[in-house]
Amino acid sequence: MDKELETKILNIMAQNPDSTSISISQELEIPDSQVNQVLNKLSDTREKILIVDDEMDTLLTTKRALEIDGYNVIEANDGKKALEIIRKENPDIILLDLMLPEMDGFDVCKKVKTDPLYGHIPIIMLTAKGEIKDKVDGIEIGADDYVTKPFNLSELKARIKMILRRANV
Amino acid sequence: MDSKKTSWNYLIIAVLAMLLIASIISYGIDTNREVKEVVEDQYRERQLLLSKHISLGLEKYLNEKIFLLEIVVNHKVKDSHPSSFDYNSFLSDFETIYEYSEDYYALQFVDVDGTIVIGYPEKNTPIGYNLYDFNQSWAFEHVKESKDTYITGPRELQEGGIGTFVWVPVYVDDQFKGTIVGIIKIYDTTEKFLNDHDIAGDIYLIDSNGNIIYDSIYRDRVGLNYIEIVDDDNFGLRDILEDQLKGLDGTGIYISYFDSETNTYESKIVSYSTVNWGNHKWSLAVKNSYTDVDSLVGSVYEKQADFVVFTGSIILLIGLIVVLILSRWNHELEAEITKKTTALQKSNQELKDANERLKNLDKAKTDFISIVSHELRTPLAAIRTSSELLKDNACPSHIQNEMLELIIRNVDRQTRMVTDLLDVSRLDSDGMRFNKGKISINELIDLSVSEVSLLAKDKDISIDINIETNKKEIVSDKDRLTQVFVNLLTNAIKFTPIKGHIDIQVMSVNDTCIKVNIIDNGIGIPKDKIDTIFEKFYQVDHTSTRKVGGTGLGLSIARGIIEGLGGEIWVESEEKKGSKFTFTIPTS
Repeated sequence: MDKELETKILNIMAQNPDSTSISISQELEIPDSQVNQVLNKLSDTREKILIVDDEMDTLLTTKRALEIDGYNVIEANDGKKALEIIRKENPDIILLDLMLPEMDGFDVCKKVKTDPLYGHIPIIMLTAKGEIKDKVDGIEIGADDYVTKPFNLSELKARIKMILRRANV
Repeated sequence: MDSKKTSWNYLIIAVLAMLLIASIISYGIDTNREVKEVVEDQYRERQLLLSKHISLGLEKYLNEKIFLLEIVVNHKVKDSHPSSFDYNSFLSDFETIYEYSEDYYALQFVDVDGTIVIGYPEKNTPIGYNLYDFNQSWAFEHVKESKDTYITGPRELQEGGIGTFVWVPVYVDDQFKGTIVGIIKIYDTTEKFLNDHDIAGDIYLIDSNGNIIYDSIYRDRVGLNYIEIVDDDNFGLRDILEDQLKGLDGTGIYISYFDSETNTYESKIVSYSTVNWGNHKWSLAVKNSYTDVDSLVGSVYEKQADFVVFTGSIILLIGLIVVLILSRWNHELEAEITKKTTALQKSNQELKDANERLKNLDKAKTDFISIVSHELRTPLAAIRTSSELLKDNACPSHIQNEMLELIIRNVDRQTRMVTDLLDVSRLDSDGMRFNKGKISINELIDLSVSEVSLLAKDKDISIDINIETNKKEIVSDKDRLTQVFVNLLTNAIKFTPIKGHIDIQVMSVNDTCIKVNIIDNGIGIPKDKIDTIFEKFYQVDHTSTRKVGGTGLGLSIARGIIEGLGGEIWVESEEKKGSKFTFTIPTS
């Protein structure tokens, strides 16, 4: 729905370079604010990070820290929602918690990595479990990195930066 | 159990019994044959002995007749002188002998001229009969020459019957005076002798030519030659007769009767022995039906058959008893084995169950530790990250406030977790202390409800309180009871949807006990989990814990407290309809 709307707006703008948000809203018969929302989203060039965690407080602190650093942070509370959001938002990187309701981090990782459309998205596994076995399992199914909770914020940021650079090359 | 094996056993026993019976029968048949031989031999021997006995007896008897005459002659001659010898003096002796012996037909004196001069009885004596005239002088001449007794005959007498002539010469001082002739009715004599001895069997007597002297059955055959009258059907008889003529002793068998149509026959066993009487050599035979032997053996057979049938029956009976005992034994054994097997299976199952329980417990412990470590780390992680963020000068002030609130929230959460864990640990080691005092029921419930009011408000859940007891106060631990209420209410709120409803009911069970129901219209508890939700390490499922938050220790702690206070706690629930937690507490 959103993608359809984005495509329509982009098509109108391509045909008529002079069109404004008001004219677009009139043409598509939708509120002006909705057009602006789409335009804002389309104009956001910041790198998009998806954080998947069911612990709202953990998610919140990480989100705030990354936002301060200028990332566009989106969130998901469980595995199923994470998959939906990945398809909708196509994030640049995913921070994935291991223990999740509905579908755990391993399954989400496996699904993403085996999907031809989203398999390229780098995944950093986040978990309170520090066991080596979990790390090995995560790497085996295609996780790009692993960070154990409680993590050092600057370390996490550095890892994100490194992985994003590698992905962009 | 194994009926195949059992029937094999029966078969083996049956075969053994049959073998035993068969061997007894075969042994019986074998024995029968031997018995028959033995009986036959015995019979032959006995019959031969009988015939010898009769022969000897007859021989002795007949010899006595001769001796009698010889004694009379010797007696007469001894006191006589050739000149004074008078044969007339014999007459009184003749009379005595004749009357006494009854075996003589007549006793006569023949003078030197060969003329019968005297005799007794006179009616049987042809006085004046000259032997020379009738050419009958041979025996007379013979005894005159030999000076010894001589016997002639048997011969038919003129007056009828068979007579044997005993010639005894009379010499006085070597001077021949004539002979005494004793005519013995040999047939009658023999018959008399035999009658005096009760003899089993038929008897015949033949002389050395085969002429029949005596026959206990066929009197008319007397005087005939036996060999000449032998029928060809009488197979074996001729051999016997030939042996008899040779003067042998023995036993033989011959066919006495043969029916060619029915192919039936009768055989006789004949024992024969010689009778030596003076110059005569006769043969006496005892005949008996050979079927006597057969019937004798037959009776032995019958006895043996009785024995075999009896023994066979005994063996079968014993076999049957053995089979019965075995089968009974088998049944008992089977029953015993079944019992033991069942017991073994039961204990195995119990072991398996125990093992399963242990495994479950072990898994629950591992899960518990894993959850606890997660629960303890998560707030720490949040606190750490937010502290780092605060340390960073770039952090805007509204985010700083947000982070500080987050830190406080997580410290509280951590505290709750630690408290719960300590409670669980105390309950585990029976280390929980209760401080009992007077509690107002109303106050207790109001306090508990106010503690969860924020949570309830968040989900817009209404809580109704119904106090149906007259009791105003109870004696118990206020803090711990509040904890139970809070735990149960928190649990109810967690699993009740937004705008749901919770009922608290308090009622008296009796004077010393009250009952509390906490009823929600939440998601309920699956039937298979209802027995385990109070387990210490139990979590309905980990994700639900994650979804609703909390340690999953609340119910376990509640149960520990209620039981520690002397009450009971249980739950009734229906999936998707709601749950009803009930607990009782003593009022003092």
